[in-house]
Amino acid sequence: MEKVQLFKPSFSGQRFTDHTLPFDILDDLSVYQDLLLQVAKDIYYQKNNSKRVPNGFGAGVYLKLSQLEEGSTIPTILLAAASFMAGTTDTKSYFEEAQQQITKAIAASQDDSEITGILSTEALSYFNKFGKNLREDEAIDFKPSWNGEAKLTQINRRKIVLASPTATSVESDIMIRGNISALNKDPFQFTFQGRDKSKIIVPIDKANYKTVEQAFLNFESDKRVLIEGVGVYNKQNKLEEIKEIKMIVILDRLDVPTILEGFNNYEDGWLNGEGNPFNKQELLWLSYQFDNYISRDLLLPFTFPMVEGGVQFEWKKGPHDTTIEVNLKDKSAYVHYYNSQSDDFSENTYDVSNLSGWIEINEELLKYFKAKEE
Amino acid sequence: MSEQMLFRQVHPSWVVGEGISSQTFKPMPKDKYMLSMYDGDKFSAKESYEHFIAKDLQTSGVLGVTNTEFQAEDLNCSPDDEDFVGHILVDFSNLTKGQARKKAKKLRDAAVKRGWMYVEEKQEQEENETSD
Repeated sequence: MEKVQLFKPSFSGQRFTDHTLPFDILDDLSVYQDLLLQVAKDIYYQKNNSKRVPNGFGAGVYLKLSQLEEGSTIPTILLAAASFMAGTTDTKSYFEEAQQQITKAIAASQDDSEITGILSTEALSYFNKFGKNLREDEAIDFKPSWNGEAKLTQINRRKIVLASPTATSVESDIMIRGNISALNKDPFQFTFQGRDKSKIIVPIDKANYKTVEQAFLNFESDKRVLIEGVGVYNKQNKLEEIKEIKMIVILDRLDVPTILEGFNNYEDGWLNGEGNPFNKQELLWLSYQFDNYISRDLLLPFTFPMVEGGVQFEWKKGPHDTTIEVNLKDKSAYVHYYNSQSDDFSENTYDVSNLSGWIEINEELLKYFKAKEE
Repeated sequence: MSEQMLFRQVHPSWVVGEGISSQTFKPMPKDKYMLSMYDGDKFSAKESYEHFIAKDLQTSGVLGVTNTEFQAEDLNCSPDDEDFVGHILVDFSNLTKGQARKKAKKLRDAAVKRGWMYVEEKQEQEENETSD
């Protein structure tokens, strides 16, 4: 048995903070093995000016997940084989070069440069499956050996799939918020309007009809819904169809991710000449942190932009008043509690780049701001 | 000292429904920790609003805090006629971050309890129509 370390991808996102890999990500990694073989073959074709690989090329070559490093979700991926020899050809270098090519393609997707010359059409199509299970806040960092970044996110994955001349669309899991601006009974369908006013016509099934109708009847008061399902993105990487609705719910008007999404529209000088635009990825990060770490037993806070570039959450109930100022750059949270009865205040700063900071904040909030008292 | 109303303009980004951010009463480092207010003896709430938007600045409406409420927080209010006559600066310098936020929350609460001193008429009408 021969084995070599191929790469050590770093997974980031809420699901990886406890240093484990969810099962569905293992599905993605198993597709990666097929992708790697395809790219290794493509390199062979090119280097040897051949349309065939030697018999046994890739046979018995497989990837192994070695270990998760302490303190992070960084598995070591090993390239293993009983033998890398295919006849007289040592295939190992082709697989190692394939790894570099895939990393280059991901880096190109990140900085919007040309992808098609890096991977073949066949190889690009593997990205229909590889990375499909990543959620919007998640990324696989391929950590290139050269100076630069190569992070696979859902957005970059779609760019890679759509780079193929044969691809006209790509499917992707979606979690989107917006309004219902029209409702039609024949055929049963509604118009979903995103925050950017883009519209998509979506068929309704009976199970969701009441929710959709309620949202539609309250369109003028900006009643918003959250749709989770499967979407289809067109060649321009724009959502053009909602193929399947797994869940649709009406959102509270204080829904934090909806409000944070609105901060993307803030332009330079939004506060009477002061204030910078927000970074979309940073807002997305905070949305997921809030959705996943802040208890649903709590009252929803008021959410405000900060001129310094952060986000301020404000809770107030009886004499209790807590504000959290989240610094989106260094992922810290300054928590200030004021009690109007005692006239005392306390303050603390937490590292919210990891779960433990959010757990501590949650415990503090649950003391005073439960939506329903037990 | 007689009680004097001071007006503060509230940026639309800091109003969500009935929620008004305490940031409204937190001065910025670039303002040298001085909070800008309108002197209620020289401007009505409406006049302060009109004066503000005439400078092409955005406001959702006007809240009011009295000079005695500021003084109760040991915040000194002084006229700044150099900017414009009727401009008052409230001094938050020499406060810690935590103290400044506590005072901002107390002032916001006092102002909210008093209610909007002025909101644009059109907005007011819309609010009435919605509540009807």
